[in-house]
Amino acid sequence: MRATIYILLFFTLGLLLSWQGLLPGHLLKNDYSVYALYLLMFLVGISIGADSSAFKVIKQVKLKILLVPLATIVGTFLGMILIMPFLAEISFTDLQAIGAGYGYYSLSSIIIAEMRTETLAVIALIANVIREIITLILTPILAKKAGKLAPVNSAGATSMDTTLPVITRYVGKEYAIISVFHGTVLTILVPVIVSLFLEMA
Amino acid sequence: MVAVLVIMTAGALLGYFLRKQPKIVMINDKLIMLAVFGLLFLMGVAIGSNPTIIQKLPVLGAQALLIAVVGIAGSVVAGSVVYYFFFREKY
Repeated sequence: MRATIYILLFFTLGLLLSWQGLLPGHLLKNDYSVYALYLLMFLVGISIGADSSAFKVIKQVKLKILLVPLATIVGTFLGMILIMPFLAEISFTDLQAIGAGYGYYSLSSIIIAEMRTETLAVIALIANVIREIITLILTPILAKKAGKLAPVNSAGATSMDTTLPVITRYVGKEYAIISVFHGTVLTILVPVIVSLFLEMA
Repeated sequence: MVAVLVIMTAGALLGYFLRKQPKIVMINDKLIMLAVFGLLFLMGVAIGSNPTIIQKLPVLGAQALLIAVVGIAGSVVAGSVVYYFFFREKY
């Protein structure tokens, strides 16, 4: 959660500084972000490759563990279809791209900013931050009322790090393994699925 | 998407070979945070200089809230189906 606060502080700081006109003009035309984005993805790749522990659980829990991230992907997809009529100005594929952040607000909004408009990136950033916050708040209720997987599915990609402590506390240690696995799979898939949807349009 | 896949796979392969070098892995994680801080700062800068977005922020926020709630709801429903049929008793 502390990392989330820092990230949002940096975002807000940049927003306020430029809104007040306190930044030099050349910073405002940032065309170097594609390379920064590629570098970030490379670094995320290294981090995933170096931590392969999440994938050892497939042997212990069997293949059905793959159903957990699949449920999050399919459930989010169907949810986006449901609200399409209410968000007429956002295209189907753009809406799916925002949903496919699965709470991983930094990477997904950076990709959307690069490939689409800043407006869409702002929606993606806020939507995915809210997904993390709601999960943190609702985990106790979800675990009780909707089954032990519910907080994991709600957390999306964050179930491996920021929301993991809360989830573990309310669903028990045996589901912590599933939570880490789920988050890792989605973290890998976020940039892939987000860019896939953006390239479809 | 192909570029994303190639770049991340290349990173993952390198990461796999570096997995027994905790120092490098730690530095890598710090670099990720730095990159994210920097990129989000720049995004803030770009958005702050865009008066249209600032003006529309309440609407965008409401749309984002709807997206978040429905994304969670869909995931939880799909997840509880999986839980009911595959995890309830055995795991």
